[in-house]
Amino acid sequence: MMAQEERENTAAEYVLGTLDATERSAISARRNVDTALDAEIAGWEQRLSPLLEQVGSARPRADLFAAVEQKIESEQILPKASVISLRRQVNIWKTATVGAAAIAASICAFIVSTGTLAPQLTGQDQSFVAVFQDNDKLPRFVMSINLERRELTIRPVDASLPEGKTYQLWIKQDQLGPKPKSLGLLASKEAPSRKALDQFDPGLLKAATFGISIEPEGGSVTGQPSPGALHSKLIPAVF
Amino acid sequence: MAQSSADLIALLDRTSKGDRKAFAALYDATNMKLFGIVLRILRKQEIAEEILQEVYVKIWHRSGDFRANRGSPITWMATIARNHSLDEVRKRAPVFVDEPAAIENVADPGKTPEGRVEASEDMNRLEICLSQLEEQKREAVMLAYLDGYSRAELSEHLGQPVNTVKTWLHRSLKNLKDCLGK
Repeated sequence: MMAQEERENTAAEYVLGTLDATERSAISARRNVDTALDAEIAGWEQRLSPLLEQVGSARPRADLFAAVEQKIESEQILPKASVISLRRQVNIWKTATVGAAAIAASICAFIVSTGTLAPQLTGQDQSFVAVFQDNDKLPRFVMSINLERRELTIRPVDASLPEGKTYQLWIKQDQLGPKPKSLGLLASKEAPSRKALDQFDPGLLKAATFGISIEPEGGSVTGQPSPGALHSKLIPAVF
Repeated sequence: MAQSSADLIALLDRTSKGDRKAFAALYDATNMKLFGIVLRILRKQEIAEEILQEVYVKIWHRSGDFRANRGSPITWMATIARNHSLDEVRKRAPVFVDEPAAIENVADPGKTPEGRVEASEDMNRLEICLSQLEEQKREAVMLAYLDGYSRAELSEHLGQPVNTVKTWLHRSLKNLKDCLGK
């Protein structure tokens, strides 16, 4: 943990904006796991934010919002809270022991109601999703797979990482052997990652278990996931 | 289209549930203010527009994180815009500090009299505390916060060694904190 004076100076300079890229990145990651630092940063944001009144307004190009919408649609980005809300609905369904069909139906209803994924679901019976979470905590990732295109997209929902660590995605299925196989590192803990699954048969993917582990930068040194990986299986996105 | 703080809170809430019309209204009400902040730090219109696009994607994704009891919605969004701009300007260093940002005094339809009064009380207190700093130290704080100057850029601009600038900033910020009393 940081000493009090170091924490205060670091938080103040982080908010002031004078740290270099490496320092900013380190502090940004650390505040996710250091609540005292996060509170110090929030205090400085509140103290200095009135200065923003002095900044004049400016007009961006007229079609910029269309570009924002296009990015949201093409990368299938959802509001974090709506995905969390979805997961809570799923947990309610689980508690009520309605079963997997209802779970998938709630996901389907969510996807259709938001409209953000609908344009992507051309081969609807080929679309599957998986949610990764720790027990009943907030989901950390939501993964969607289009079996027709053999492509997966994995979106972080509530993912944070200790400094120097990265997320690694795994697949486990009997046909692939007794041990999990790596599907590679997730490029970002904030933005969606896409991966091609050309080498896998759709039937194999439907039956597979997927895992996400926290590994050192560069990936697992043993070739196997570290303990504590999150696991999930695919369920249909649309009926 | 003028929007009060309560309107923006409602739009953020609807956005967090995936309401694209609310998100569009939120953009209409805030884009000029946020673009002013981004452009002042990044200075180039084209780069600033690219970053503003990413800022609104973040706002869309994180809209459910906003908590009304921790600050105003425009301050929450401005903080996202400023942080993302600073991250980018540091990655893209060296910055073009000699070029003035192309900020015009355009009328912002999202700015309300109510919002100005609320914020001005805090601004007045901050200005009093800033005025108690020595001129060069006050200038360093303002250039860093508003224009995104790094320690090295402040060092060059003020003609002082980087370590001196760092010491100045730490002392100035501590003085500000003590003066503001919070």
